Amino acid sequence: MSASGSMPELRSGIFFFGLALFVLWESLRLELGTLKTPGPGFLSFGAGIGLAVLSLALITSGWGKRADLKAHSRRVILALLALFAYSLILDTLGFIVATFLLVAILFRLGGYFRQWWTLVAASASVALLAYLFFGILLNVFLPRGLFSF
Amino acid sequence: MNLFYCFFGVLMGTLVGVLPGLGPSATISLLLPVIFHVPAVSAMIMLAGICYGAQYGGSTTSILVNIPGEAASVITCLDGYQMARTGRAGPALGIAAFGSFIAGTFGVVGLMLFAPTLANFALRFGPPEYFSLAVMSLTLVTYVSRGSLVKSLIMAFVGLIMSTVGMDPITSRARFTFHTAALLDGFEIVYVTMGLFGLSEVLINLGQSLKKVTVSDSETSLRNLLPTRQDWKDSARPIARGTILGFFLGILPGFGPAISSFISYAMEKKISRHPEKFGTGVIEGVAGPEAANNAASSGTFIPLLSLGIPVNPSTAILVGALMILGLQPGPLLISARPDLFWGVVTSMYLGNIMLVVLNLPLLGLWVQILKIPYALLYVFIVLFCQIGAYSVNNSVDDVLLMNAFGLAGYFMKRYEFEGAPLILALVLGPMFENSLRRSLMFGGGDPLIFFTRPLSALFLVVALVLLFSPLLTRERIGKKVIEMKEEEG
Repeated sequence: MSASGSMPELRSGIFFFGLALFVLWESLRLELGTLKTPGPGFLSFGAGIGLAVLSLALITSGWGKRADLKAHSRRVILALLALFAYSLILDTLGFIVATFLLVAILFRLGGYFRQWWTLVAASASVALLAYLFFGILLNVFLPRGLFSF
Repeated sequence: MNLFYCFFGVLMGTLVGVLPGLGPSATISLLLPVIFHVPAVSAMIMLAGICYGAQYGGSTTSILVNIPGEAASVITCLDGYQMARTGRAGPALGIAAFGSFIAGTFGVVGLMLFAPTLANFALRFGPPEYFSLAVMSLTLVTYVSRGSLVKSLIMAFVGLIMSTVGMDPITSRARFTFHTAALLDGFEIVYVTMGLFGLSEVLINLGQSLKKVTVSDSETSLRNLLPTRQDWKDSARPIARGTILGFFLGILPGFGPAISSFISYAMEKKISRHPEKFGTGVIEGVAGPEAANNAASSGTFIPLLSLGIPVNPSTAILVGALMILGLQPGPLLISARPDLFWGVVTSMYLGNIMLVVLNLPLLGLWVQILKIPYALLYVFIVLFCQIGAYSVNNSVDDVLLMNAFGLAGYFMKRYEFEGAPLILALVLGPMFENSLRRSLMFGGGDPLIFFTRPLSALFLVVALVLLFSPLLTRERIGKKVIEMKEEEG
């Protein structure tokens, strides 16, 4: 699948130009100071101007330059959703439960384990072994969550 | 104890050198949380071991199965794999290992001689020199990046902007934090590199076929590993040239193992009496680049340990590691912590010996590791990233930020923006800003202060020449690297 006819350089140029405008606005709010006493927004303002100029150059060079950009894979989108969900549930559910769920989803996306019971067993083993290795052996403080483990 | 960490570092380095899609930058990032639990010298010995160990591992799979584990070993595929196909995998691996050992050892001697001298010299540097040095380093990194110069410069500016996030060092005012406590200390190098290099690589691979890393048994048979007398005769000069070239290119920001190996190959081909045979399995095509990438790997430690200036993403993360360990990277590091400098130097001598002793008998094992299905391997890489990000501050916010940088890195790869200039600018940013603001204050607001001091002026002139030169060399290097990448893909 490909989103044919998209203009990747134009798109990225617009994104960075927007970012540059935001940085310039924030830098002005932070105070630029003077050349004699540069303020907290001095460097970010200068870098923002550089970014704006370069993104305009990218927009100009990318205008009309079409390229076949591969569509996002479903696997990538699901993996990203799982990763962001993991960051949100890690504190609440605790390391073992949250990691079990994440690993199960990732194994499923990889398609290595075909039967559900091997998937569950492998995910549980990985979550427990990771807890034993990092939490117990390397003494990393891992979140315990609702279930206190 | 340090011997153990040296061994562990070179072993991990070889492993990531073997595995495509997991480079030394990502591995050092993954292991950064471990350094909280070990003494500073041991930690640096281990992380340095990963850097130079990766150069050894990369050649093994390039020669045996035509899969470069590392960008620096892409060029080794050309003649190394052809040698393997004609039953000469042994001498190719042998000369790669011995050439790497000779170059690595020379590089350590160079490090020992040059780093303290350069550090003493750098004691004369004031804020204007540091500012100009940072400008020159960033320009060099963008100059030698493959692909578009505009995109590389955009990444450098984004890195500089990111480096201003957190408390202002002079006025203590919060900048770009949006009332988020996790951003008050600025972006941590650990989760930024894990996300941009480790996680994004996994996401890109997830979008492709997960079956690509497979090796058949027939491809991995090995015979005699020792090169013949003729092999040695043919390789001696390429090794010597590659060593000197790689070492000096390694010192310069932006060059480093990958580009050094490419230039060494091009040079060997140019001066060879039989250039038409390059690409058909000549040993000079393996010996030169392999020596160059190892010497360059040692060379990168000179600006790191003597000036606190990183020259590539791996050394940028090492600067971050030094700061995590409570050490101040810069010219005073060697005199303040001679145990650390000499500990790392000694470990590099021993590490190079360990790598030769380890690598040749373990070749079979490294090839077996390549057979692990990526559908299994990627889950562990993702999990290590999550735990690694969490363990820095025991904070879920860091995990969230790491995943966000993984997403950003994924888009950067899709749209062909390189991560190296961003990481270097992020690491150099605080030095850049402090020296800029202090210079302007000392100079009464006159920007000419950067041009009235000879060294500062020299650095800036070099940066300006690079930026506004016709970019002929850069385009040539960039095109070649892209060609090599395409061949790799």
